[in-house]
Amino acid sequence: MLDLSAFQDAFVSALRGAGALEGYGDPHAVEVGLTVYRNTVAKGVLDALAANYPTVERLVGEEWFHACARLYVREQPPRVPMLVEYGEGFAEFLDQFEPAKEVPYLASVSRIDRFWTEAHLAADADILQAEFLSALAPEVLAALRLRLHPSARIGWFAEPAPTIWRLNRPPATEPEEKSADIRWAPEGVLVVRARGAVETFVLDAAGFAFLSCCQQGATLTDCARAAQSAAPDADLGALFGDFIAAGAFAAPNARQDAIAGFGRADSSVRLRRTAI
Amino acid sequence: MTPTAGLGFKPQHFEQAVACPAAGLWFEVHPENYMVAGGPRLAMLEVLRCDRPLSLHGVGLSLAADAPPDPDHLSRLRRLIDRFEPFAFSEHLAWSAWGGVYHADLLPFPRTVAALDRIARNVEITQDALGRQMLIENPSLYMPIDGHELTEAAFLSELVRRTGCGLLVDVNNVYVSANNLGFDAAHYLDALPAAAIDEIHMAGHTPDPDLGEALLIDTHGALIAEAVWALLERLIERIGPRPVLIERDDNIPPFEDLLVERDRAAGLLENAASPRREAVHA
Repeated sequence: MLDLSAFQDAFVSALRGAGALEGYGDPHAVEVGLTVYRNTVAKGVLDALAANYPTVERLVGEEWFHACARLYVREQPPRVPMLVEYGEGFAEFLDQFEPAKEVPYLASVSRIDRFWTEAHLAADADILQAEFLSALAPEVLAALRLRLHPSARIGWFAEPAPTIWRLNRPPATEPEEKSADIRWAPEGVLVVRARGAVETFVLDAAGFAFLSCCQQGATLTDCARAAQSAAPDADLGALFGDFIAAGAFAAPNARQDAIAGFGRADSSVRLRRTAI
Repeated sequence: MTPTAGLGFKPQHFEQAVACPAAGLWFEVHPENYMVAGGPRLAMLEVLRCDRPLSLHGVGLSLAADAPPDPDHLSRLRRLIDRFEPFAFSEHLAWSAWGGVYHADLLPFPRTVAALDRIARNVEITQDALGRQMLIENPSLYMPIDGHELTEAAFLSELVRRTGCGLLVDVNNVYVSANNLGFDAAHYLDALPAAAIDEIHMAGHTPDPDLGEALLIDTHGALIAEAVWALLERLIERIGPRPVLIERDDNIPPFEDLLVERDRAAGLLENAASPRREAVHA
């Protein structure tokens, strides 16, 4: 009697291309079938990675992306069937990937793609309203520790990766010449899904220092101090107002709120097969 | 609302899906795409579920692996089922997870008596964890395997008998598998226990670019073939009307085009249910 485990071991090796599936039938017919399964498995996971890193794919082109993705998939295959979240370690993979070093901002761009996916799938929560703060006594406000919205992701990059990302994230159709206008300086980013759709904001040093401090649980006073020391001429009032307007902070009592911002090509599981 | 003919839900069709007045229209989704903490996916499903019956059609449980189903995945399924109260939950007679890796496909296995024991146990574990009956779907097959001890129809019938699960019959998969492996699709369908069939899938297939009609691929990317419609008609004639789903996952056309196929299926079901027709046959 055929052992199911032994069959599955042999099938998986054959799927990976490590030899034929021997002893289970006509070798030619088995190989034809295997090719269908091999292609479907490969395409499913490549599509999922491409859907989660569309800006990376746009920057390097489909052929380069696929070649790189195949190596990544081999190293870090999906462990769970929720392909919507696949590709968590892709930025770290690109950090180490020698051919990617020709595009020094590629791994940073991939981190922002990942922020987008995480923001898209994160828990819902009401956002902090300015009225809540205006009702507080100054000393209470100064000691307040604000919580970032559960969808908020922040990052700081040595290159203007956030601007490059905004110009290239599909379906953006910014003309390529624009890349010549990019000011080559460090930049930060805030990615947040506060009102249904995921939004991104480019941060300066003060803005990133403020949110980063807030993320670590600091008081508003300490957040302001950090922002001030990062950029002594920063307009902290305007900065804070912008963050509240962006929905960067969660309301003290979170509740559900979402919809919109869907309908793009996504990495959903599809029952779709790929031909030989 | 009694579900008649439904559509696989596509997020890009959300607004039309919600606005569509068709009687008996229902929707099906893969629960794996909604196993997220929050955001527009779940919000959309909430809205859809307000007005329409919903079915959850899993792809990740890997019931035919020689291992029990992942308890974490079962808990995730249970949470979605408790929240969205689908009228049906289904999975496949196939495996995808092995050695800690998820292979995004529905893979074949030798249908031995030992495999039947294992899969029956896996179905029982799942039904216990979810607190409800599940439906099992026949996969599309591409590879002849030596060593099958049961036909697929016999295997599914035995699963029903042992576990009390129901069946989801994918008529296109039967057609594709019969073509690729050389068996008779109509005989296969005739051998399934009528009372256990609680849902039917319909989809389009595509001939392999190299091998042509000798190898049909279940692409879900084309119109449903006339031969598959004929099999559906024959099946419904035998078992009576059941919820029918039109699946489309590639080359996705406008919502109206999907509705045309959906309405055709609804027409067949209505016809099968009408007393006048029964009188004619009596």
